[in-house]
Amino acid sequence: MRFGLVLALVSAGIVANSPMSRAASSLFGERELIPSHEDLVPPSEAGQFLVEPVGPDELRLTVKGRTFTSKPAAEKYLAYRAAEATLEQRKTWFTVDGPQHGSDGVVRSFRLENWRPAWRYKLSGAPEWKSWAPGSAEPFFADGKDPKLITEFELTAVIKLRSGKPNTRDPLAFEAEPLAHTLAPQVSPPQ
Amino acid sequence: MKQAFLAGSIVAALGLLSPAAQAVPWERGFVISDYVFGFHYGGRPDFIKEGRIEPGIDCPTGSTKNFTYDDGSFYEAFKLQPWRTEEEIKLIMDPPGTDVNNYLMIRSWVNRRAMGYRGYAKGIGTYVNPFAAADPGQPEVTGIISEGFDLDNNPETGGFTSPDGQKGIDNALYRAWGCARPYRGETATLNKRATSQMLEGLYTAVIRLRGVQDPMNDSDVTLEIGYSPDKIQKDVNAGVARNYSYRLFNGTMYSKVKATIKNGVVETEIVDVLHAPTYGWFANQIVDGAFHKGRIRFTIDAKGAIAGHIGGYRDWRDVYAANTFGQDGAQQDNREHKDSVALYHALIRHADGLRDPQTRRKMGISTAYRFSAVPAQIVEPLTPITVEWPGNRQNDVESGKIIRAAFVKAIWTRAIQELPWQTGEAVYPGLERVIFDLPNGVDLWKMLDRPRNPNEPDWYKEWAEQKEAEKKGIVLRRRGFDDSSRTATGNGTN
Repeated sequence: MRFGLVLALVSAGIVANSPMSRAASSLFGERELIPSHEDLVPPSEAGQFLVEPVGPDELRLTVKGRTFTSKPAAEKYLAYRAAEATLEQRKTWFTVDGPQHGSDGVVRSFRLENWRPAWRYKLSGAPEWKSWAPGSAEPFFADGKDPKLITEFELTAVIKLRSGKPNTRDPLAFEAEPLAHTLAPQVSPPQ
Repeated sequence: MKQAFLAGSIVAALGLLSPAAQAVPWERGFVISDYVFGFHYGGRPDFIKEGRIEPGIDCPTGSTKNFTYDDGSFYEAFKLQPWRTEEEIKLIMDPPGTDVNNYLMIRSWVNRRAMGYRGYAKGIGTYVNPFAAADPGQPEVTGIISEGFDLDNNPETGGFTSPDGQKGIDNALYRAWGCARPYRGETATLNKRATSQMLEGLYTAVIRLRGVQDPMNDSDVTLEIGYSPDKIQKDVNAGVARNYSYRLFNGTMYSKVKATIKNGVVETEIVDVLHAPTYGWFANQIVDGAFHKGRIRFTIDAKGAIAGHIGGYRDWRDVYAANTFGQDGAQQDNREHKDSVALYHALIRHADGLRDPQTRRKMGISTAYRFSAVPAQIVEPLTPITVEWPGNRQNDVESGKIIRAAFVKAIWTRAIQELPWQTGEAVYPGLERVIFDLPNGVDLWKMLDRPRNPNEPDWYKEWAEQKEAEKKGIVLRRRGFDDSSRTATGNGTN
């Protein structure tokens, strides 16, 4: 997709007269040198990221990890994978269910404050899984804890895939391409 | 009547009359600790592709790097002058005499002289007359994420989405210059240089907020931004110390605007022209940004520090002048590996505002500058103050004004302008001091010849006298930047 964008810009003359345009003539031979947002993100291990269809154009996404770093880091990675999954299905945007935040009247491609996956986790010395859901009365389970006490964790979100022009007035809508482009330089799969 | 007044007084005293009656005036001050172009970096330091400098989704081919020997970019730049022969280019890039003392420094002077005259004909100064030089090309940002503002209040234009999802971000300067190495990513050399110079005392910019409700939520805030003559105070970690006092100069580079604060996010009104300092690494670059449709937005963090953006349409002539004439254009391009001619043409291509009513040309470009600041006490000066430059930097400021005037006249009239002799832009006499040390120095100097200042001496004769004197152990005072033939010492003195 990014490669196509570069080619389109070159052919439209937008990068005319540039080293990029000079390179464009040989782009087909240099394709591997033009990074896409997928290239920027380190690959995940087998079984670390799961995609399950749960209905027509509806996916459940799960990311697993053993070394907890921070809530935003893990949630942003899952958001990135949600955007990727949407683009892979040739859709342009997705929605989530949940309470709406950030209806500030500004036209936005996405509102990360409304990306609120559910969590499961295990603590050191306790074999059973525990759950934490956004919106619960309990504070986030890792708050105030030594991260090393969290031995395993999973976070899950269900997204509904959409086609066409995104509804940018919907606070629960996420436009896949800008979301992927925003997050690609900053996310990595949890260890 | 008297009873009604009494009752009203009691209600007011209890704070029940209106929100305004509960108002508690407050004030917060900040000194800017980091200030650069708001260019969103779309790469990541741990991602490498051979032959590319940090490629990313902003710049798929990575950062541009001009005027380097290892990738042929010097050659490409000189090849664009139709009047230069291959033999000349070879001599410029690798002048004979590698065993001469200070050879690399002399070669740098030779390179810079050639860089400084790249017009369609010999003798045309490149940087004052950039339209007269062939466009070497500047890869633009092809990413879709950008910092900044929706300046035209149209989410369908601008082509960028902000990192927090807002559509319609207008930041054409980023589109034009965002892939240039000195401004891109964590290794952006000019960003680092600007911050370093600011912390070393080149200039200080401050912000003051005054409200009547709550410092984190207030619908009636006044924001002031401006220059302070007081040098930044550093802490033991070489960061900016908190809570020192700075005077605010309300002359040039100053604005007072209305703002609101919602949950710690400060947002000003949009004003026709927002006056505020711009950033730079030489005194002649620290000028009024004059942001048209200007605005400021920042967030207050839990420790009271702030981070955000100032934006608007800037006159691209100011942007070009500040980023080209900090020192002479050739010196800066050579050191920072950028090409101001390419950047000039990119500005023209991407100009998106301030249409001149007579010529219909767009003279503005949408911009955003990113800053962070720490808490400070902003105080009123007890005695009149003004803009003060350390050392002899006032000369740089005067020099910058002269060069900018010549540049503006050149691009407005399309008439080739002579380089102002009293500035460093003519790239002399540094070259003349050293080139005759080379075995074919005289021939090379003639090949690099350029329009002469009528008052110039016979440089070869001076060099020969110097050499003769040196043999006798005498050091002569040579003409240079510090002699009376110049009124200003040249742009950039450090």
